[in-house]
Amino acid sequence: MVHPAGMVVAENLEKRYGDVRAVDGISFSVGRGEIFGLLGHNGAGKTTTVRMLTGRTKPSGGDAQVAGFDIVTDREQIKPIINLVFEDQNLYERLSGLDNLRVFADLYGAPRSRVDELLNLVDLDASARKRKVKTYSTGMKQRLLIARALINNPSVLFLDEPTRGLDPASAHDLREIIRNLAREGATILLTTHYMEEADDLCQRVGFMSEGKLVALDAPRELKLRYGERTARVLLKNREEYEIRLDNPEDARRLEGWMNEGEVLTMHSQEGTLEDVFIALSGRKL
Amino acid sequence: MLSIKRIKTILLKDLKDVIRDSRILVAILTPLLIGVLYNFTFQDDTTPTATIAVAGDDSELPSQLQRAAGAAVNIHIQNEPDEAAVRSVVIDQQDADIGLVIPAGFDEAIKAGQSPELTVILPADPSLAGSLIAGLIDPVLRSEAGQAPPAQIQVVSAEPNPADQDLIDVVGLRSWAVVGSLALSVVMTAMFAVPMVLAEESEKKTLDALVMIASYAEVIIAKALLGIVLVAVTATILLQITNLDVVKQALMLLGMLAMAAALIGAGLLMAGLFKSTAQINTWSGLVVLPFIFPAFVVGLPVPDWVDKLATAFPTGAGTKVLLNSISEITLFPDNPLYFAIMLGWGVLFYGLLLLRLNRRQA
Repeated sequence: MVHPAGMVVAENLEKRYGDVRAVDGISFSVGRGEIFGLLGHNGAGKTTTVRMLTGRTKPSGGDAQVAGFDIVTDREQIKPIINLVFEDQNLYERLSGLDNLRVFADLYGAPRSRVDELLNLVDLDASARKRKVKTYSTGMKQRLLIARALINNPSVLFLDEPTRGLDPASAHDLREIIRNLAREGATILLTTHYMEEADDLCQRVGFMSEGKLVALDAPRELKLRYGERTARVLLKNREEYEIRLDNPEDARRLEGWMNEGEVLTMHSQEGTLEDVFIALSGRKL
Repeated sequence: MLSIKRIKTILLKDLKDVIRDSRILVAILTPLLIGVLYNFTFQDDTTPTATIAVAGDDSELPSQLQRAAGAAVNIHIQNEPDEAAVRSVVIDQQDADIGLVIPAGFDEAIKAGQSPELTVILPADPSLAGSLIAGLIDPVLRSEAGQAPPAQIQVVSAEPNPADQDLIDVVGLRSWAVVGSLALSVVMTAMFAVPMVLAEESEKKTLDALVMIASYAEVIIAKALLGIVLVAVTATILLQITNLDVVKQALMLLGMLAMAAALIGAGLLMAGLFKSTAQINTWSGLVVLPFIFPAFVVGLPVPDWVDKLATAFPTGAGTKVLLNSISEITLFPDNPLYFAIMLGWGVLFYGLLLLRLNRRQA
């Protein structure tokens, strides 16, 4: 049974540790097949939110459902249909990559054939998969983590900094995997520090700051709303200027150059998600 | 709902992992090696042995001396070619406790009342066994000569009350030490190896991955079973190598199980109290000492309050059960009490563990 609002629905979700409100009444929903980004500075409450949604900690207040199941009362029904790529590379280092996956295949009741399928998907070759994980590079460990998170073909996948430590090519491959999963109907909730990644992957992003959800929309809309609109102008004398389109003085300068025929090229620039974040929270990531 | 399949998966994973962890292997093997060392160093039979070096005629005297000595000393006869060889063996090499140089026709001369010469060679500082043998020569020869003893001697003996006997005299030093090693092995497995395994899961956050599908209870049960398996394996190996005579096998098995189960509870609790494997490594020596000490104290001639205090510990109570299992007689008559003590500690440890688990899940 899926809540009509989406596969992940949070309503006034709250987590308190004594007097500290780690998550302070946030509400959002994520639809089936959507890639949703949860962004924010360290300590904003992203990881705590994911811990609550994945059943690893109980909320202090509010409600949340995953695939229609309540995260508090229906934890056992949620466990088989979700999975998580952890921020920490929490693998069994004395076991091989193959053994690591087999353990979780057995725990989830997945067939052993799924293990080889996933190792091929994340490009861990035959010799590597038999080596102990402690011999793996950071990138190899991250790929194994992703394979582990897919072992049960989850309907909802939580990704905590999934491309951390990956080289650009591997990061690109992983983003393709994420997009394919979403196309196949998986719902993905992604937390990341990499604004470009969130911009590239996510249909919507939510910004958290001090436990609150300060903005939620498609990346483009947020950039248009909060980002500074500028244009980069190259003049005939090869001097380059950044013009603020909303600034009257800059607008007059641009008009002057255009009237004098001095403008060689002009490119408009929308703000980045980092600009959006700084505007919303008053601090850098 | 607990899943046997998931518990089994975690247990098998742990078994595969543990044999690759040198810290755990050392913790498990050390008591095993100590037990083997004790087995080959100590003896259960503490009857002294006397070696008599004999040169000369084939006489009945050595065997008569053996009969006269009875169970007080084990006699070993070593034949030598001549008196010089006997002197060398007894005085120079000190390989015999006493030497006898018996002339030809000695036994016949004794029976005929001819007082033949017998040379007895003793070192300047004779052993107790040598002195005993020397003291028996005169009455044995008088008896062979047909002389009537000056008095009719009636020897009355009875089995001493086991409660009055020294524990080690009853079971033997070797057996006592091997049983102590068994208890040590349980302590090291339960209160070092098992908490290390669990603490590492928490430290490396692999526990977070496990509880995405398994429950904390399933993980804890798997760790407890790991402890039981490791105890079973090391105990079996130790008993096989030492060939300890276990008279009551069911009692030994139940005693080991109860002690292991209680101490594993302590170990699992320790894993939660100490935040890291480094802390366990640092502090476990101090924590396990109060549990190891009772195993090597119970039943020994210590003040009554010390014995009672030691018995109040699961290792003390458990060791008494194990000692009962290797003895034909019941050394310590309160097996139900000892099991109750171990059960009580188990309830305490697992109860506290459950409280911590509930708090963690909140």
